[in-house]
Amino acid sequence: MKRRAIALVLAVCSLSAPAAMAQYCPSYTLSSSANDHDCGIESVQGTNPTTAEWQEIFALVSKGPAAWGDQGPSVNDIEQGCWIPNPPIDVPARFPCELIKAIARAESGWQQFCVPTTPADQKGGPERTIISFDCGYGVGQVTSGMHIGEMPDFDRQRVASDATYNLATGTRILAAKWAITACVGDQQPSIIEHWYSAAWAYNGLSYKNNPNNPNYDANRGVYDPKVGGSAPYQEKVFGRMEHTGDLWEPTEVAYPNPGDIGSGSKPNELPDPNCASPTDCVNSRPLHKTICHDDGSGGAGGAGNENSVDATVAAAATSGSGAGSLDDEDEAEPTGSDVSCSCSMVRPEPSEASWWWLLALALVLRRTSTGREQRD
Amino acid sequence: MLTPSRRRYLPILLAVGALYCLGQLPSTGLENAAQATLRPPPLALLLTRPGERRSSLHHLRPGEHLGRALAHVEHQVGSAIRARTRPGDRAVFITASVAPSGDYDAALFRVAAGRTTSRLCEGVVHASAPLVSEDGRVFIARGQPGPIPADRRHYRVDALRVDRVDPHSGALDAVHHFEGYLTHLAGFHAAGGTSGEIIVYRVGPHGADIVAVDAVTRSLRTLRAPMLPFARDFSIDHDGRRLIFRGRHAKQTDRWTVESIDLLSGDHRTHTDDPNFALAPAAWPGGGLLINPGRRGPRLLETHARLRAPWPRGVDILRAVDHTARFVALLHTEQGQPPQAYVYDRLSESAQPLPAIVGRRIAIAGFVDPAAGAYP
Repeated sequence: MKRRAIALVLAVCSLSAPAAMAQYCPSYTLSSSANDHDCGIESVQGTNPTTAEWQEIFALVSKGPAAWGDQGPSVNDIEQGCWIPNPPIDVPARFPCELIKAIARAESGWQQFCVPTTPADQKGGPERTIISFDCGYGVGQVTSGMHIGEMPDFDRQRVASDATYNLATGTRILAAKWAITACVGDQQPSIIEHWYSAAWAYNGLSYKNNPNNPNYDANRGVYDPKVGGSAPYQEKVFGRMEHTGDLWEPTEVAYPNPGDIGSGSKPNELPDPNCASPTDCVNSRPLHKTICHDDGSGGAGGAGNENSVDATVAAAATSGSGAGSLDDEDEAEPTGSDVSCSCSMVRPEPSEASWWWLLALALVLRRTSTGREQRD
Repeated sequence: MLTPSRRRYLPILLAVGALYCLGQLPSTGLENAAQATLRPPPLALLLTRPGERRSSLHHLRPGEHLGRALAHVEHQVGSAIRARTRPGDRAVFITASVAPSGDYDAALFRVAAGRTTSRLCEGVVHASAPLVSEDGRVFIARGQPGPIPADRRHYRVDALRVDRVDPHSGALDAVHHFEGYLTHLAGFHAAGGTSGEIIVYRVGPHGADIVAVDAVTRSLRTLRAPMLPFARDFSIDHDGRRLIFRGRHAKQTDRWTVESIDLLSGDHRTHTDDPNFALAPAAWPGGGLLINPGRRGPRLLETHARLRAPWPRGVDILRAVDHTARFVALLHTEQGQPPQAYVYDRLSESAQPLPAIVGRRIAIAGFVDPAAGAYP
């Protein structure tokens, strides 16, 4: 009987629980009838790397073209230093592995290949290249050069077919953003926080991503994909370095003071970020040096399982950005019950009228008892 | 005359009478005591589970359990949900992202119980809220991305507009155009212009300003220009004379200000400043200002009224005031924690938290207008 009741409860729960989130996987391939953004390369069949394989890919790509050789495109040297105090010098491009893991998480949920769920004429079948509606290809959502007629100096076919090459192409775009954005701190490529403006530009230098945009919540704090909500793109990337879903070692990165951002027509030079959250500079955090440049390991290992990550993804339209993006998606599963309690946390004080009634009551009681005493 | 034996029942009779009267008395005389028993009108809430592609509309009062959803709205995963009630209308007007990404990825919906949710218009500014005037007019900020700037370090300049939206058909009537980065609907000045003015905060290549746009003639009045582009958290005070907002200190980039502008004269005043980014000032009904200094919980300025907030820390954001101005709906937020809504009774000075809604994001649309009639 008891077992039956449990089974019944479970059945009811499973019925009332929201439908499991279907993994969103667009594939607006060249031949799709829904390809109205002129995506120029056909999707490719492939198997998405496991979490462990992704960690190796991130480790390799974070070390830059010197390490990846012909597994990725060429990348120009990037500047290091901004006269605070170091003068700028050109150095081979390298990238914080924490940052590229977070960007790839935000862009595609670490997916190069998945079973398409949209558009209608691509649904189902084997795993194929993830392609957003605006032609963002693969794990890094590479958009630049991926439209019909474009002829970039990298291999478009490999962007669609090779996860390592795709991610490396994404970092090439990130390096270009590093070059055009103003310095953060002393512009040291090994300092994660110094990539704040480049990460912003990866999604397009639009005002939408300005942390002073009044449309975002004033007390939003560090972005957590399990909680969700709206935030500038670069905050979603930075938040993912802290809320990694146990896929890699979390880093509690610092944020720039929003009061230093926003004047003028572009993101200006920023001092070293030291705020505890995008909306909290009352408390502070230190800067973080990437762990993947010094120890030779190329990045923190992941604790994830062998399956591909199950984040959902969304397509993106970023006018003016080099890389398109599958902007973020929340990763959390719905939690249990909706209502835990209903109670007033502040006891209402007795009103003035209540006191008058109590006084009247006391007087009557006193008179009654006095009368009783007299009778006795 | 009462006999001595019956006289002993007199206190009980008086007490019963008192309780009866407390429930029956009109708002004069024993006003406080009488009104302390009044319940606030229900709040219209939009609830969203992280990771889900729809939000549900609920009506909820403190002390009640969360019932079934009255209606739903479909949107992108992770979308910001902004919602407003409309006087005399049971429908709620909601903005939510319907495109996977982009600066104008949101749509405006009309959502009502028992009715099909209707999409009124698209191209709405990401994460922006609709503006509903006291007489029920609905306005929205929309835009289109401009060309990619030749100098890619700069923000893109977009074609922005403010539209009046027919609340039933969705027909649009442009009341203002602006070329820039952002138009933000800061409030509605009922006493201004021929038939009210829309207060618009604008940011563009030449800086920021606040203007009043006549809702009928479309004539424009500048209230403050130039100003630093850090303004947010706008509200209009109880008698419709001042626009309250949070700004940034003119010289200290890590201090935030509470400022106001006289909507008739344009006179500007700074009320206080604080290191807390999330000061979230708001006009308090009946006079005064709500602020959140130092992340130590909310307090009231420039009024003798008291706010007994249920939680000692965090940031409480004023979201709605009922038609009598007695009840205030606030959202208690702490970084990294799900927000909690509560209703504050200004007369009894008591807070009544809504049931904790676990695992969902909450958007408060406003109090349901009792004059709007019952649902079918």
